[in-house]
Amino acid sequence: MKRNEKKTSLTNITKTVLPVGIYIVICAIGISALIGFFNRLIEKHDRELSQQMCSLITEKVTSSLEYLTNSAYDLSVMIANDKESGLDEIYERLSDSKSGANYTSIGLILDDGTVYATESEKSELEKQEIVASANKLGGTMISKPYRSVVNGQMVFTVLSSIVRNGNKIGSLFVTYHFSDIVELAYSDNIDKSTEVWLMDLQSLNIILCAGPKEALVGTWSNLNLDYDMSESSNLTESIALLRGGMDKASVTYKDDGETYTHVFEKIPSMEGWSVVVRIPNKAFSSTIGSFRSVVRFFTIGVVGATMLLLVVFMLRFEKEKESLENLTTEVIRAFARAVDYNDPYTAGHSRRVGRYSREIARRLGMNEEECRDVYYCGLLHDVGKLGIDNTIINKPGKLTDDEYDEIKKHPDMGYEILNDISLHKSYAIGAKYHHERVDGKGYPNHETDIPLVGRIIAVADAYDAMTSRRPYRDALPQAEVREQLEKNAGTQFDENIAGIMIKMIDEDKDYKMRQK
Amino acid sequence: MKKMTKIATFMTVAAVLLCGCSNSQSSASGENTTYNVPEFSAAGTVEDDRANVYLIVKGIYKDYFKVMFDAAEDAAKDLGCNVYYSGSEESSEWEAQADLMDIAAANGADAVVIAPDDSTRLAGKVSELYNKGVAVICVDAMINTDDYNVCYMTDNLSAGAQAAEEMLSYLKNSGLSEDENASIAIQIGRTSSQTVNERMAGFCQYWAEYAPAKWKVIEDIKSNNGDNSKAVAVAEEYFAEYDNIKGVFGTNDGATRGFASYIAQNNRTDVAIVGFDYSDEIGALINDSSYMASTMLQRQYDMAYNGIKTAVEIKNGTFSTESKLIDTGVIAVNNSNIDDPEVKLAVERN
Repeated sequence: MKRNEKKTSLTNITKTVLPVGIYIVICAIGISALIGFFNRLIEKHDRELSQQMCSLITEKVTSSLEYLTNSAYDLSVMIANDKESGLDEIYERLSDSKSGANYTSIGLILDDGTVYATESEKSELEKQEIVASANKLGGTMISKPYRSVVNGQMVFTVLSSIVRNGNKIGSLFVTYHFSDIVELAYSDNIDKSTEVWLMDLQSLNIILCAGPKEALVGTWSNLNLDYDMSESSNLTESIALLRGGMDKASVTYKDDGETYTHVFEKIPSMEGWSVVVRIPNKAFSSTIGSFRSVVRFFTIGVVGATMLLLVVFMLRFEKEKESLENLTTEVIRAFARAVDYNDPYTAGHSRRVGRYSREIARRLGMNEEECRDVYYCGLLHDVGKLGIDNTIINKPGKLTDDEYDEIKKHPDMGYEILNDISLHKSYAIGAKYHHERVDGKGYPNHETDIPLVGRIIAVADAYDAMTSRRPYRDALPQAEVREQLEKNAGTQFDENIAGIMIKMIDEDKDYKMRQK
Repeated sequence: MKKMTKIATFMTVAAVLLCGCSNSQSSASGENTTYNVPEFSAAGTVEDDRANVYLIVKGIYKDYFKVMFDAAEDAAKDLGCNVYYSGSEESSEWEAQADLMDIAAANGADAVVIAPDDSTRLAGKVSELYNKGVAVICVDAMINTDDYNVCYMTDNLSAGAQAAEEMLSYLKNSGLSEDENASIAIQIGRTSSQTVNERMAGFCQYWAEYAPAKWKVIEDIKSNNGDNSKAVAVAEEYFAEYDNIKGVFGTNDGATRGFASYIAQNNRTDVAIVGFDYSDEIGALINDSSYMASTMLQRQYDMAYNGIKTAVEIKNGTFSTESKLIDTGVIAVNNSNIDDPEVKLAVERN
């Protein structure tokens, strides 16, 4: 019995835990899918945003450099149109404009070899081959960055041709601090890990304009030194595209587990040079990283709370179910006691039949719930007797045929009484068939197709009848009971169930089963 | 004016105050760094009422900077000024240089001539001295502030370009056809060195502009990470991986020695080598006319000498320049000019 209780409790736990487990698994899969989807969405968002941000920065730098060349061009046009002033006078005015201006030097390089500049500027312009470039120039251009001897800082020079009466007479030169490009490239809104360089497409030399290592800003390096430029590298592909004539190329790649976006864009006014922007994609997701954490914790919180509610609900449901079952058992037992109360000679009969039936059901391999139902059927099998006259039931002597016919009505009466219990139809079945025989000679309907519960109760009922004292006889000896069961197996009783009962008798060495 | 003459090792005020003291402090990375602050030595004689110039180098035991001490001795004698010299023991010990600047200022320095260990970290200290009225002259390397008077250094971009020009000249003179494929290998020292990076960038820039299209710099630029013992192995790697190397360029002493050793061991007279600084390895190749070998020598003697001269001129109010950066340039030493007196002197001073 204890083992059964343990099994029942285990079954209940399984019943409670299983749906919760399934719920957890479904939730876990759902959350994983949701987080995975969310992460992919963020990665896509990062990638697209990185591309856009890189493009914006490159456009910002190239536009600003364009602005510088346009300014030089406008000034060179003004110089060309100022035919009243001599070039000495113009140079003097240009020199005067230096104070407070953002350029470090300004002057003229004439095609006849005259250079309007300070001596140190002249030697620098010669050394950096800017004079040679100016002589060949037809339009505007920006020199490669170089270290100025005037101030020791990195600078670059903008050149613009001066054309008078359709003839080029020379070029205007304006030298700016390289840090001006840095300022153009830098923005408080850009993530600090963003790098902006200028790059010479042929040598792959790079000059850092902005980046996390501020000390290196304005310094030279080479792309080959800092990045994987093997043939399989994504950067190599981008360089090949630019060298092939494309104005812009971009690439997204992984390096040390981080995803980066690199955008290269040629600078129209600075031949051979490009702006390069490199952004770690996480620079964007970091801004919504906390939001992602909140969503994650909220989702897990909601699932956890739901799970807790589910468990509480299931436990309460189980408790209510148990209470209901207890009530059902008590009501059924009360009925059984009412039946047995009518017949003092069969006191406890219903309870015992219920017990024997349950044991037979268990040995037949039925589950706990089925065994319990069989037990209730056993308790209620004689409920129809409540509709029979008590004088017949309690008659001490032999019954007349009419009286016996009256008694035979109790299975159908029981069926009538119990049939209204819609949830447990087997109770009515048990009552209706418990006096039928497998050979069709039973009553009340001489059925041969007897439901299992009816066959079980028939054997249990017969065993208890034979082992009970009657007004007209004592309880039969165990051996005789066994013999009767054996003898009537296959005719009165289901052979298999009779066999189980016989086995139970054989195991009951001291003939105490009835007293339990 | 009372003239005092003392033996150099006994006479510096700083030496009295701070005899070979050692110091320690936590670095930005949290590591506890210990460094020595070597005492200042006086060059020649010290006299009252003369300009007091303090020369601070990076790496007092390095031959390269010992040349600067020679320049200090000569300048003190030639220019009639008091020159004190010291420096960090290792080129990474910028804190020692900062301490030495403090000592110089405390001892009434008129000028500090400094080869800064760290252009960024020392900028604050340089500004502090400059704003106190101490003239600051940088030598060998720049400082990341405008608060200095003048800087004498090698324009490493130009020096790299000059090295490329030397290499191109060798290859053209060797009869190599412009239609023939040729590779140039570059070995660099420490990748974090701005000097080395600029030399490499200068070389690459010149090569991209002037070399025939089929003569290419190998894009896989290899570094020995400042470890000279690995330089030969790096050279061997290059020659094992590429079979048409016609020129090699070493951006610094270690890289040049590595390539030179490989070329000598393998008798590669068909490969041109251009490097930086003078060593026995590259010297042997330069002196053997069967090799195509050159090395670029900096003028660190001139840097220090001119730095001290400028300091005196500033003190005397006679200094004026349009240029804040003065490129002392490099001398390309090769077999054809090794016997020139100027080149000989440059080699001796290296």
